[in-house]
Amino acid sequence: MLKSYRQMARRCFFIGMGAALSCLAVVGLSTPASAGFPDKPVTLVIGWGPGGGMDSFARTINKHIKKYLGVKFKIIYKKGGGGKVAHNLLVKKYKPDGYTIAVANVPHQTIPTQLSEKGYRLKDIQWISNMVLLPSTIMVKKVAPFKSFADLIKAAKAAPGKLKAGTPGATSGSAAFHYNWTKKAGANITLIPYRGGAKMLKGMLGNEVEVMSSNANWGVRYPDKLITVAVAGEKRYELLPNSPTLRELGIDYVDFLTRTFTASAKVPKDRIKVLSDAFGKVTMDTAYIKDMKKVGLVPSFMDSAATTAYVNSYVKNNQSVFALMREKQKKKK
Amino acid sequence: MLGGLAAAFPGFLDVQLLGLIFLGVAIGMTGGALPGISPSITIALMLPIAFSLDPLASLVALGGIYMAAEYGGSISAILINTPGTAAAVCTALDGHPMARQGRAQEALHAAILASSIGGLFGVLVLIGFTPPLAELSLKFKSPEMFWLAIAGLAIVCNLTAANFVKGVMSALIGMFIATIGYDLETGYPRFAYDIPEIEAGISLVPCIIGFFAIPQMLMLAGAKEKTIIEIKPTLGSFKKVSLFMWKRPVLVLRSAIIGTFVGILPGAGASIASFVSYSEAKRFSKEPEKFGTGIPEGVIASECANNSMVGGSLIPLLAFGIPGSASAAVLFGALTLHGLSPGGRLFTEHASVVYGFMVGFIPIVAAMLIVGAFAAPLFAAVLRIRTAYIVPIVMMLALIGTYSFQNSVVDIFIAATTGIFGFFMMKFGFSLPSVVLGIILAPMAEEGFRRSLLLGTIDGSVWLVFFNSPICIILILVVVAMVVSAFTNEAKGRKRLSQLTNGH
Repeated sequence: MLKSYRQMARRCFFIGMGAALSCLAVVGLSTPASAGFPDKPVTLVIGWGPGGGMDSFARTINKHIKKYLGVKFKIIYKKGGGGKVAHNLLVKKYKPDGYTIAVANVPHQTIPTQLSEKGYRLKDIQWISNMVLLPSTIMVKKVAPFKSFADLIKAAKAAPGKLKAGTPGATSGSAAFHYNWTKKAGANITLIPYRGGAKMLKGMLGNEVEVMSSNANWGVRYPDKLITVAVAGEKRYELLPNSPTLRELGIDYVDFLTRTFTASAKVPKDRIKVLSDAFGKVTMDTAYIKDMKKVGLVPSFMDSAATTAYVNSYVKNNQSVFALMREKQKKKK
Repeated sequence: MLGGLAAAFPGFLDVQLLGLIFLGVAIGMTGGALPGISPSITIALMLPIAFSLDPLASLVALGGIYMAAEYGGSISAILINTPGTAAAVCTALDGHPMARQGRAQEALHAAILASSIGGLFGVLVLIGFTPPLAELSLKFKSPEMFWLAIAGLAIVCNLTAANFVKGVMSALIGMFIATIGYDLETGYPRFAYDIPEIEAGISLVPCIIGFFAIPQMLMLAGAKEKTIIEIKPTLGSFKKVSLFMWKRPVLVLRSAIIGTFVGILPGAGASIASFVSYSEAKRFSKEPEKFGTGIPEGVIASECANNSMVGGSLIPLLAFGIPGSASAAVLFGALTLHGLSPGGRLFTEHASVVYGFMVGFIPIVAAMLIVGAFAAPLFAAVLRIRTAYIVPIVMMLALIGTYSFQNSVVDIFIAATTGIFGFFMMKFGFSLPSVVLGIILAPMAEEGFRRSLLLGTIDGSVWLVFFNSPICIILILVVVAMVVSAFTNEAKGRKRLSQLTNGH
């Protein structure tokens, strides 16, 4: 009896160790590069938690990428600061051989570099390609007294600063969007930052805020709860055909969140081209397009040069907002 | 709806689905038991495999992992006083003293039975009452979330500290650790000193390992005994525990209700569920002084609550797409990847998958009960292993767990630093559970507090906003009661809790 107990105990431990080691194997480590890029899985760093919007995008493309790149991605998470942690690691820690790339969101990867002297600079990273342009939107609740953009502006002007708008983070792309559109529309709506989109939605449904300034995905996902009163796209969003653009409403302003791939600036250009070409091809894949629509995204490809130009114009057009955010940080310090 | 539920049942006679349930339960239990591999990480690690399955099969497998991982944390908590999950911190309070008395098998059986009953209760609530309860969760706005976090901290300090002031100091240390990272309103990186790895804050996983696993192993290494405890195989402990629980339906039901309710509140989480339930069990007990000395009631209250939390946390997820816990957030990702967006439409457009998922938790709980009950004697045998083997193996597993959490060497340094710090705190009678709960609850308290201030400024008064609803008043009364009772208990000279510091 005693002996069998000891054996059982030992077996228990081996099972536990085996499980722990296999966890380690799943995570893995990368080794130096060789010719014929890529000849092993490319590590894709996600700067957000598992299960979020960035993750579902990464996993969707990972389902289809092998056909065009020859290898699959190995996904790892480096959560924090809306992708800031992941990008600091990308330029400071990981080998710039093209085998480690990151998922980025243009506003989120741009804003921190404009607010602080610390961390990575825009010149430290290069934009491989842009995969999705997701327009920013203004949403109200279905049960709210205002059901159109005009009504909302009227209510905001009647009580300046009393209406509240939720955004997922104080220095997020959505916050920048909020400052911009309210200024252009001449409406004073107070920004209420939440830590993440899920909490923002809870605040909205629980009547803590009346407006949401955030990406189009929310309106697509919750048509029974939210009305998207305006879309900041060039044209109407495919998945929200009844919502007018800001341009239609007389405000000349477009703003997007993106799903973009980034690498360290030191990665050789020929490798960036291999990756960018593969991403361009996958965007034409009908199965990929179908899967993307399932997660509420419409593919929209831009190559490295076009993406870089887009980022530069984003930085230029938002200087006043960045100045405002810097001012807020100084006051709080 | 009834038709949808009834239609979902026969599907579970399918061999593949049953196999996946058992597989999910086994993986979840292992992940939950390993310190460092939290339930949400276990689910995330298995996500890629789940995507190769059809939606229902993958959700059921992930659901099995979630449910079993919340139970699995109790195994290591009871045996080596190293909670595998944040919620099992509470299970260790009575579970480990029981193991030290040679009643490890009884404690493990109490944990699995309580987890199964709690799990089932939460799932039945999920199936029966999702829409009205989801509405209720929206009543907890920023001020309410702030008070809930403060009440949670007050409860933990009251329960786990030999000395309330030291408990509060411990919690404040934890809360300070949680202030590291980006500021909510300005995005400024606080106390980060240009170290990219900690700019977004100190992760919970290395802290749990640092404050529990490492001090505990250092204590074991310094102990004279060659094994943790000599145990006699106890026959019939399952039956004994079943009878014990049968005679205490109120305890079980109360714990399950508390767990489910806390689960429904987004951001509150399993550890609050366990501690609130434990504190209530102690308050209603005829012999409250026995809590913490190794009684099954403590294990039952904690485990029943953290598993009934599972069903509760899925209520706001399925109804609105607002996950009630970190694990539910990962499940949210699994849902969207299969093109199922949570919310009202889910129940009409994808009824077969959603009802199948909800009903699927019933066989999951059954599988967990079977595996857990049969494996308990096997797990208990760990205690017979000589500490000379246990200490290095647990240390190694803890470090692997820390590293694999996000491939970060900095996390290992954090675990080592907090480990040594935690060892001395334990020696000087500080409460390590309070430190960890401080880390968990401070972000919730801070976010609730600062957003309440902001909302208060707009609506007119920054003071009234904190006292504006009956829920706030109730939570404030809980805080007051916890503080007053802690001091009166100390004044009465009831220092029995000081024994507890040996275990912590």
